Amino acid sequence: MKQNRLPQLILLPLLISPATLMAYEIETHADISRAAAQASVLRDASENGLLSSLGLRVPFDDQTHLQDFPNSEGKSRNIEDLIRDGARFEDGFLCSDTRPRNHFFDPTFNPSSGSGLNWNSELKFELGTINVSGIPSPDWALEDNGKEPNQDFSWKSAREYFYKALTATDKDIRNENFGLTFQTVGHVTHHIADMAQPQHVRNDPHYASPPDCGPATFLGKIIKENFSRYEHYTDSVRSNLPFDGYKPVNQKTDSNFLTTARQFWSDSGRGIADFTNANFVSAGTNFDTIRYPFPRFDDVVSHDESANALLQSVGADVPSECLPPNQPCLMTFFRMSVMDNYRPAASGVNDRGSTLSIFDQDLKTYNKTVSRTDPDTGQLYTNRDVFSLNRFNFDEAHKFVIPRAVAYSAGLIDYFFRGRLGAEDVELTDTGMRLRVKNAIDPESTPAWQNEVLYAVNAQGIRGQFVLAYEFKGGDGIKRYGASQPVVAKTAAEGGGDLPPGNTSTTVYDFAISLPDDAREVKYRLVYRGKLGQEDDAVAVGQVEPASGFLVAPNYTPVDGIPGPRMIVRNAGAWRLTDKTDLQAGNVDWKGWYVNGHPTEVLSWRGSVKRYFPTRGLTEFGREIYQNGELWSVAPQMVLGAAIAKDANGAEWIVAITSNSTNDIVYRRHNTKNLSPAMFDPVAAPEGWQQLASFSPLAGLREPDRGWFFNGTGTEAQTIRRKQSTDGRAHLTRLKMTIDGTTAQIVDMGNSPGFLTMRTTSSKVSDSPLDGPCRPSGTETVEVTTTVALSGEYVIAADYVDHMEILVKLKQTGGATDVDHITTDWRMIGCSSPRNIDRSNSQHEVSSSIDTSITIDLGQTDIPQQTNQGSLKASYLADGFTQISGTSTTAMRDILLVLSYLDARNGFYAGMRTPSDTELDQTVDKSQFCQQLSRNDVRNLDVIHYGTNDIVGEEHDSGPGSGFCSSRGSLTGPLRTSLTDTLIGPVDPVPAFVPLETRVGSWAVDSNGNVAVSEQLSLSGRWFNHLSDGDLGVVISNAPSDARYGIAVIR
Amino acid sequence: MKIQLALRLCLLCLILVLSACATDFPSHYSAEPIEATVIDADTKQPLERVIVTANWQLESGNPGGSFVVGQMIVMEAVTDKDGVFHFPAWGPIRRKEGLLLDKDPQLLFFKSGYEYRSLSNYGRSLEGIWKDPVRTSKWNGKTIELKRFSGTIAEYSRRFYRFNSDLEQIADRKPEDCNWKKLRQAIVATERERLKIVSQLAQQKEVNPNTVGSVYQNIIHNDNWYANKGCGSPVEFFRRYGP
Repeated sequence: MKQNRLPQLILLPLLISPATLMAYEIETHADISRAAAQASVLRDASENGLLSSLGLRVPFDDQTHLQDFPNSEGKSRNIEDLIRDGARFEDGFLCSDTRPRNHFFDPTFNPSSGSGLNWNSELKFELGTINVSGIPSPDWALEDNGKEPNQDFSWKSAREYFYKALTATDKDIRNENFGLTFQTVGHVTHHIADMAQPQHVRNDPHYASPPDCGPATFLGKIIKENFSRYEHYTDSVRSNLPFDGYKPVNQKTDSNFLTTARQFWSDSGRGIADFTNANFVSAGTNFDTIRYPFPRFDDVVSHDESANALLQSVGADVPSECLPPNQPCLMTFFRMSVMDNYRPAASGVNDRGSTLSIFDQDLKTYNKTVSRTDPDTGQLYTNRDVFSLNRFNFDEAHKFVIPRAVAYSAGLIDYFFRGRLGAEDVELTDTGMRLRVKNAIDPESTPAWQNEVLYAVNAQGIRGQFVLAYEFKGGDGIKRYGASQPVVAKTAAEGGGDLPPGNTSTTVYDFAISLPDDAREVKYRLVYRGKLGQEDDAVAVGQVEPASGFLVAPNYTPVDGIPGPRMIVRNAGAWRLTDKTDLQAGNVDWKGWYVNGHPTEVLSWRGSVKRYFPTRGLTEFGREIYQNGELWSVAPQMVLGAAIAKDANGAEWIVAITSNSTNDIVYRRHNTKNLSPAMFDPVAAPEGWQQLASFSPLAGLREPDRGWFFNGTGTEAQTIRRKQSTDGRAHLTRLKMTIDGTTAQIVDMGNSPGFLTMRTTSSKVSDSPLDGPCRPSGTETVEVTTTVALSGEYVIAADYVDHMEILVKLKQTGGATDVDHITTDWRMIGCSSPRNIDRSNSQHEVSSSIDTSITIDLGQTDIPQQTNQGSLKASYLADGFTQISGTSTTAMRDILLVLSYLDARNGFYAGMRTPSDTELDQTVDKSQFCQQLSRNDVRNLDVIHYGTNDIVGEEHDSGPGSGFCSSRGSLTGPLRTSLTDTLIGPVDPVPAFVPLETRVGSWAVDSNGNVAVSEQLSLSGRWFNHLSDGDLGVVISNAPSDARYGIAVIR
Repeated sequence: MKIQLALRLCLLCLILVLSACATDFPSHYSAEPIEATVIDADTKQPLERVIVTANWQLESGNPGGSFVVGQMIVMEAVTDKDGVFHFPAWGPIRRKEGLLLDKDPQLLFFKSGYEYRSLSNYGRSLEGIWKDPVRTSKWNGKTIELKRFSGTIAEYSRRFYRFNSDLEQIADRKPEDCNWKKLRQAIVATERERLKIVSQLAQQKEVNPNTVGSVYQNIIHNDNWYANKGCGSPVEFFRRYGP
């Protein structure tokens, strides 16, 4: 077999041709940038995603033209097309445009600074040498080394456009600057793509087409044959380019991070230019030159392939000299290692790094002797084989450089938009808004940004500044924009200071804004301009949500036509309906991480409608945990309580106490949105739940039936649990759990002993037939005075405000004095001893003087449950103490409130207020009489009802008529009872210790203490709706007469 | 140092003089007629009503970058019942700026339900490719196969995007040439196809149908922008032909 190829290797170094170099054609640039945008943070159109924080509501690639902005030519484009336009426009439209000269960057050589940032090439032609130079690509694209002439589309420019877009109050200016922002991002990513072109990083100039206009015409004629085959071929196959396959840089799983824009170009071998420069040869810097140290020819391995087969595989003609008898021609390919210093695991092998053959880059044969002079040594070489790069080399190179062009571009887009702000303690003031600034960059989700500190002052001593921008709809329905004056960031000396990611300023910032009264759908954005991380003039932005807000689900469609749960917030002194949809929240919430008395974090889940007291046991609970209006996490078991805790490194964890119906199981996971209930697995579920502890029931404890409630830092929680006594009766005990990092402990705290009744009795008798001389008849008077002192408390719920424990106690105080005045006629039959006496016509008149109260004690707040003040009077005729006739009672009492909901954190309770001074005046028979007394007597706790059952109360055994109603008890001496001993109600099934009335409705308190209630009135069936300083029916207009709402708290 | 500067200035003058004298670039371009047949790749049967566009693309560049100057000529045709399309010869026409390379012409083939295809004279040696004043298509007289699309509607949508992108590139560079008017049938076809795709994607909730666009929509929503280029209102124009 004859091979039309000279022996290889010994001919090196070979020839040098006029330098040629390649780049991408404009549609290839557009496609790479499009793929990058789709892989970047721009794709996140969620409620908490980037676009929302910018006030943009439509996905970036939406084609319905609802969110178009003008490009620099004035044409309306969506965000994706703007980025594509920028990638296209960066090469200019005129021959006189010298922008492309600034698209080169050589990380190996840089004569001017020694840092490897330069392009300075010489083009040789017949008449001498002409020097064509350009500004190094990052200098031009970033302008981080100073302003460049005629450059309006740099990173620096993009920052300016971005800031204006976010703070402009004029719609046209806002739109224009948004358009320029995204277009300019495309201009910059064009450079990243160019850095994935070997010629652009190996000082290898080229033309995609000869320039044919203006002063450049001559230059074009001189080097008109310098077409970049790489670029041309790449464009011809751009439909099939491998855009995917390399995740955007700065992933959580990466061990290297690029933390300045310039590092995306070059960073000790990890930049895209570093990668391309060291791993690929180019047309003008092939192995026939010695200009570049890498890739080294000494490291390559050659192998031959049939040129005939290759040509036929792509439909190219096989030249005659490769046909019989000389067939086949061969191509020698050079296999090269491709070292990825950014992700070493992504290193690989390029099977066709270069070609040595009789074929040129167009796959045409030279069929002649080729002479070239090595530009570096001046030596003349003559040969028939030639080093070239053809489509087979390009296909292999694409596998490496195209995915990285996309990945580095996407990473750069992410870096541009990395600055995220939040706000805490948002207060609406008379003049605007007051808040504390949070650097909302989440280093957990993007460790690359862990050092992106928001500095108050940059390296030049320029202070950062905040602007509160806002948009709203006026009364005419037209969207308008506003912005506060800039507020200078406060330094540490001023009580402020730098803010690392996740940190919130201790100092408070005031923003003066002007918002019309009829403004609705108001949305706020906090914008920062200043030093962020290593970037001196960055922009950060975030939505500002008022610190309070409810999720309200009306039973009707509001005027705006948007059905379903809606968020209402209170700002600028009024409640406003937001246009947010698809929000979710649970009916039980935890508030934590208090600052200045206000919670800054809120979680919610599904639980008892009465918060502390069970109605249907565990069936009320779910596995979902909600945060910021969205389903945030799903636990492996029913969630009884949840909170956010922080570890020693400041990382946030969701801690959840769950139940599998018998055990209390404690889990935690990182506080990031994740709907998988999977348990932690280092490979399959690295963000899975970690089990901290599982507690089987302590001795005597019944299964859980109500929630756990955490303190503000998620390190301690309490619940009330039923406990079985040895006599089979249940009472309540208090459990406390402490959680320290990855361990948890539980302690039975017990309960107070219950209620104490002190009773003393005295009697006074006058005109007794037994006393004094024997008399024929008389009327005996017996006056029995009974004094009852009531006291005692019992813990029925536990909760926290920040670190402060709040125990909800049922407390009884007061007392009563009963006077039983008995008159009996007597007649003495003789004066024998003992005296024989006939008694008749015995009459009782009983009066009580009462002053008692039953309260729920919240520590600083008492909720009056019942007071009795006044008198109770009964008189009756007794027939031998066996019958009662003519009985009547008159009583006065106040049952102030029958609770339907209680939130001990705020002292908030809801319930039915009964009419005061209820008068009882009835005539009953004995059995009814006793029953009536039993139910109404002040010493009963019968005010506490659960449905039709009395739940908690002291069994009545005293009071007026007690002698007829009960045989129990003694009239003298103390009577000590515990709650379990005095239970009224069904013992089996286990009674629910709920001092509440079950009502249909929902109740919530937001982080600012505002209250929203929608509760069905028991008697009329109508609904009682309430909103602090507002009206639900007005805020959510179009309310019918039977309007009702499901209410939950979001913040 | 001054002498070196003077020498460089002299050299520059010499270059400019030579530039003025240079006649390498053709002053006119013309093209030979093109006639070819489109068939179904599987059945080998002629495909009727395939929309075919042809654009002779003028390109230029600078060291490190290139750009599309505009189009020398833009035409469109529709295949007949035998799958045949025809583009007449044109020229010579005076060349203003830019040079024809291997998109001389670029041919775009679109038929609903088939894989969109674009062809050019790619593969021809680039050496001196811009010189020839008379352009020919290597597809003249050939049979061109279109493959019925067999992927998902989402994949079809991505291919459809490419067709729109290529058409928009022809229409947008030098908009004062009013090339969008010369692509009337193709542009109207994109909107009809978009509506069809959107309807199908809407049934697959995981794919956002709003990400499917058409060059027609882009032009219509920029009515003033195009109208200000002196070609009249696209809205008015397509009212007569629109989807």
